[in-house]
Amino acid sequence: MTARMSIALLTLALGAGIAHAATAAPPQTSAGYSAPRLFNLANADARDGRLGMAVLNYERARLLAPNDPDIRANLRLVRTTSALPPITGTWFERQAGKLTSPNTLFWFGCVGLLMVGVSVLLARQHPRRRLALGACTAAGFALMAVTLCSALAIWPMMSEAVVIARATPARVAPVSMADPLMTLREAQILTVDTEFRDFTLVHTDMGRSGWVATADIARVVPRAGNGILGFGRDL
Amino acid sequence: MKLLHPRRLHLQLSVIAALLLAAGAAHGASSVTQQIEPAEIALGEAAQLTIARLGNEQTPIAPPVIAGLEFAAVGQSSQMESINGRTTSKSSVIYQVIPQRAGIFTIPGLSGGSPPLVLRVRPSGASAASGSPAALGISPGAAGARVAGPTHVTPDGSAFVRLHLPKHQLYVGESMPVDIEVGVREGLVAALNGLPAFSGDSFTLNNLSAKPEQAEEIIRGQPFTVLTWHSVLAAVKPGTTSFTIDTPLMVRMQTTRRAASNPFADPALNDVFNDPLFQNFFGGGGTTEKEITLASPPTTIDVIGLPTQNRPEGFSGAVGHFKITSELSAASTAVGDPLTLRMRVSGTGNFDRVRSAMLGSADEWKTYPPTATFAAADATGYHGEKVFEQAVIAREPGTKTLPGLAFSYFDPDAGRYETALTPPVDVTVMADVASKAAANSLAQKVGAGTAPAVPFVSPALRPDHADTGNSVASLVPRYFQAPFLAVPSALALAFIAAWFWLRRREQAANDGSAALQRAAAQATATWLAQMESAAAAGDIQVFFSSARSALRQALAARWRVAAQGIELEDIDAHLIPEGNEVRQLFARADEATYSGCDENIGDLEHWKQVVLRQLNERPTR
Repeated sequence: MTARMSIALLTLALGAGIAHAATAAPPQTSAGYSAPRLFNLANADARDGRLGMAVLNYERARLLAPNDPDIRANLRLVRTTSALPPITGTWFERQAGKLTSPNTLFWFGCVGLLMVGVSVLLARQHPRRRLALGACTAAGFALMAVTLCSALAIWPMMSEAVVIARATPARVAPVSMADPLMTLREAQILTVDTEFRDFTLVHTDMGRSGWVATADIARVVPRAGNGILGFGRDL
Repeated sequence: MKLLHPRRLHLQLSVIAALLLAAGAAHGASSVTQQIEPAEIALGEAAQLTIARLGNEQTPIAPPVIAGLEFAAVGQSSQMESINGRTTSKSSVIYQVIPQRAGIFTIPGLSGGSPPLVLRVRPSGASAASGSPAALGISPGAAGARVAGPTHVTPDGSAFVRLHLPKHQLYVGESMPVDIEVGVREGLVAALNGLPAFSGDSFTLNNLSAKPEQAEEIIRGQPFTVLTWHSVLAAVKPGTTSFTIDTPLMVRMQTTRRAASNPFADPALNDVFNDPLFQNFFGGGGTTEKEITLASPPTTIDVIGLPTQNRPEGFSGAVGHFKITSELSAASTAVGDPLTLRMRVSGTGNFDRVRSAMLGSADEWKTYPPTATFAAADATGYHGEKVFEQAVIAREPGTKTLPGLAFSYFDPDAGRYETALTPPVDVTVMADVASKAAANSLAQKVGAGTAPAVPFVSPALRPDHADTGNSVASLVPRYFQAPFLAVPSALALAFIAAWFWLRRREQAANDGSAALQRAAAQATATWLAQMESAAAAGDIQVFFSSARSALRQALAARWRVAAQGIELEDIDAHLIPEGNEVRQLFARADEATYSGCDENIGDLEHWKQVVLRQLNERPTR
């Protein structure tokens, strides 16, 4: 077996594996999350005046379909109705948000890795085609970089939560009798820090912190019991 | 329940003023004046009443008794002058006047010639300029006003129970707000042993709060702490019923030894000398506690049964004043897509009997049992709003009409049953969810369509999306999920392994070529040594045979072929430089091998140089 045949077989096997994983990974069941379903759910919440739940489901739908204009428009409308500031973020986050969904970008990254690996191997065997293979390597690295940027942009959202109660006090300590520091409004987005019993330490975008009842907030990305970085399986 | 806020300063000041006046030796006419400042205040503020007397009158200055006004003594002064043996005195007492309600109060004139005073108390939100009775909150004939019953103080003056009722005629099931007031005197009542309770069984009373409102009130010149409970009374059976409000109290019984020895023999001072503080100050009297049940004056209420004629079919027993509204969660839907139908019943009455089946059953709609939530607008639950929610699902597509809702109740003021109706609602029912989304999108583009009843943002909301069925099991992006991270990890490991495998394979190939070169060089050196020895020995055959073998090694290394396979044809094919000499050497070697050779020994050096030149030639790649 020549080296060229070995690389070809390796590429075919890995490509087939990725394709199989990509097609088999999203379960075609009605029990999971889908952007249209979350969007419709958010619309229903908005119509019923549950603005906190509406923002939560819009954010979740935006996670699955970041370039959907309807989701962004309705989210902007509900945030405006709730007197919340418009959707902001760094330039990096905004550009990353215009790309396709993180799950699709994940497969882009895998394809990029495949391109880099195959082209590097072939370059050893075909020095005369080094230019073409170098371009292929660069394209693969570009795909991997886009995926990495998406992961960095999405990372803060992993610890975001939305206030779903009408108003909830943020207290100085994780007990009901503690003095309230501020009152968090419905649909306000917070950064979750840690939990203690029935309370969660949160930070606002203004830099203020306090303990709120865990039942009054909901994480944008439901927290997992196990898995890498604490996110692997939804509760 | 201990009483913590006594107000008895005016009594002590009255005693002091009386003693000072009694000490005056002179007798003569006296004049009394009074003034109040300001003459108009708002509810929650206080005015100052000053009563001054000039003369030798010895009776104490007492504050007037006016319902709705509380007088609290805040200071007193007295002056005595003796001119030519004639002694005159001037004393004054200052009271703080605290109104307990808005209105116009008249402070009666005093016997010394002082004219009556008028104090206007406006509601806390009214302006000072509006002095009309209406502006002052005086509306005795207003519907629903709670009229206080008689105030019957216990014989020892320690407490009273008072009931405020808006009316004395009810229908069965009807509720009305009531105020129960229990007034107690500090020092005479040690504690409340329980909450006020009804004596009869014809009515029900909502649970009373353990923390009633607390206020001060002057009744017959005595300060009382008045505890007020706001509740709702409901009639449960018809008939004329008289009832009382019973309140268990713990009272202190005073032994009043000094009551009979009032040194001034003035009945007006009996209260002063019987005051427990006064007696305790002078060490008189003992105290014993006793449990008593304080009953309010009997109150009679006529309870009328609800008429049986014209009773609506859906009447659930609601009595009061209600109004209803309805709303639908969306103006368009799809077959199988649920809508939420809401009915809001608001007003006053017995909300516990406000029930509704809402749509019940409808041919074109699948309905579910409604749920109800009640939001009280006051502490008693007499005012509020009850919201019924029902899920309805269209059975068939098309323009469907959701029937109006009806709610029946009995209006006690009108004395008849009423049925409130809501208008029917037209709903566009699509065949499926995708059609609904498309219709909503189209309606939004052309600016048409009926605005949904409920939402405040929904008219501007982008329409729902058709669900494609594709879903993911987790919202966590795949690059944060361990099972998916195995894919790029396996890829990377596979490529690294392949890279090392290729590198090792190339190294192995390079190692084989070098060994061959070393073997060829060694063999060449051997052939060259044989050539040298053959030339020295004059062995022509061995010389040419060794020279040919050395040339084969050199050419094999150059052409990367086997040395033994190189013949004259290969030399012609490669067209090497000096090919002719090489070809001649091969021919002479054959000739020497097979037929002998007459080559001169001196020519061997030439052929040796030919071989060395070929050996020094660099191999081509």
